[in-house]
Amino acid sequence: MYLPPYHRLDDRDALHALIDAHALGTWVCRSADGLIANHIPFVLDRHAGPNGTLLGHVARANPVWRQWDATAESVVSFLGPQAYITPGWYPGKAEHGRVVPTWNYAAAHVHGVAQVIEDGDRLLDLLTRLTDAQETGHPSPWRVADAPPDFVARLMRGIVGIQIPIRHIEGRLKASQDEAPADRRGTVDGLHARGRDADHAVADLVEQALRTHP
Amino acid sequence: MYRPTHFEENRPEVLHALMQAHPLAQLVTHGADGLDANPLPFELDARAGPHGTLRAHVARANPVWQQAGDTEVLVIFQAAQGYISPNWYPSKPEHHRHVPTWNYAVVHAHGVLRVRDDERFVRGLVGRLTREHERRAQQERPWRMGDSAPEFINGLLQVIVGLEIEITRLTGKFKLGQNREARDLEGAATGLDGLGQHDLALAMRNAAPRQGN
Repeated sequence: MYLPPYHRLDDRDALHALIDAHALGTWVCRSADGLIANHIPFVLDRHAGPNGTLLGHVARANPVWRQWDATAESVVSFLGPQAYITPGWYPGKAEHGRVVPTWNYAAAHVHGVAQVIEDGDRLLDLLTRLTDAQETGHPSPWRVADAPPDFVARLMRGIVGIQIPIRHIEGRLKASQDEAPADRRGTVDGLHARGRDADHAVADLVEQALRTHP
Repeated sequence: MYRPTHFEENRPEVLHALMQAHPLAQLVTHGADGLDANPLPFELDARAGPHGTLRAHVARANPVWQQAGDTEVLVIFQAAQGYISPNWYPSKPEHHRHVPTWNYAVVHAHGVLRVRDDERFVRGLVGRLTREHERRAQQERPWRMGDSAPEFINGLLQVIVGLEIEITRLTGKFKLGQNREARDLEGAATGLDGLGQHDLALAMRNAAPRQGN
């Protein structure tokens, strides 16, 4: 991912939080037939390996784990909030007119070689982690143990676990850092006023960046 | 992409609509340094070529255009998505034979990346992108490129490079609970509504098999 210095997100905790909050990864592998992409929810094990490990699973019928180039790195992209930014929000528009539109977003990209997990105990542990990560915060969280064991065992035979030890992680926080402070504040106000889709979340990113990189 | 039959979506007009509604897509390339992905806002020209043509621009400093020109690339568009808790299924207390899942709708566009290092190309592209997104942003007074100083725009056009991908293969996966009982799909949509995830809830209701089918 192209990373101008002012957009580079280096804070490990912030990158991990982005993955936790936007757990559906776009996972791309190389194969003899070209690129294969699948959309898989991942849970991050921060303590496995030097840089953490992503854990997920696919249907056994999904050919990816038979077709991938097992020695090549795959990339998993986690995309956070995003929004179109109009120069109409910039006070600088009226002052000097040297403004153009852009798109803001936060993204974390993980690179690493994917491996299959077929061991039953490890797979159950993986499913429990995935479930608990998402059910946290629900009023009465669903647990894997809520389903009949024979039913869970049967479903587990239909999937394979995927682990991706993280070799490299990079993040881009594209949050108007290269604009004038007044235009950044105008963007925060404009996003809140529009209030569609991820506008409030993107406004929070711009506001955070104003604090950390004024 | 693994696509069980009930999640396949191949209608070009449906795929094009998703791409136009969610234009920030991941451009996935395979260069000398391995796989790379860049999020970029794309313009879809639905009438150019058999499956449409995608256009975008990158900073001249972005190495992707030098590394991936004339190679096979993949562009991935994603609509609303979210976790589905088994707690939302009305049938859960009856047999508990449910597990969590994730719903989403995505489009994958494959093609060869052509570099268009051409001022007319990028000027036309950013002009159309601006008009389209200012219209959608419903600005009272839409911003126009002509509002900027011409020498400022001319300078910026020098530091971007155009990209064009004629789509050779276009596939969609709409995993929206179509395989569920109607009451469970509605229960999950109601659960999402409760979390404010209305776009995904609406997409699921629209994807529900009609009664009697």
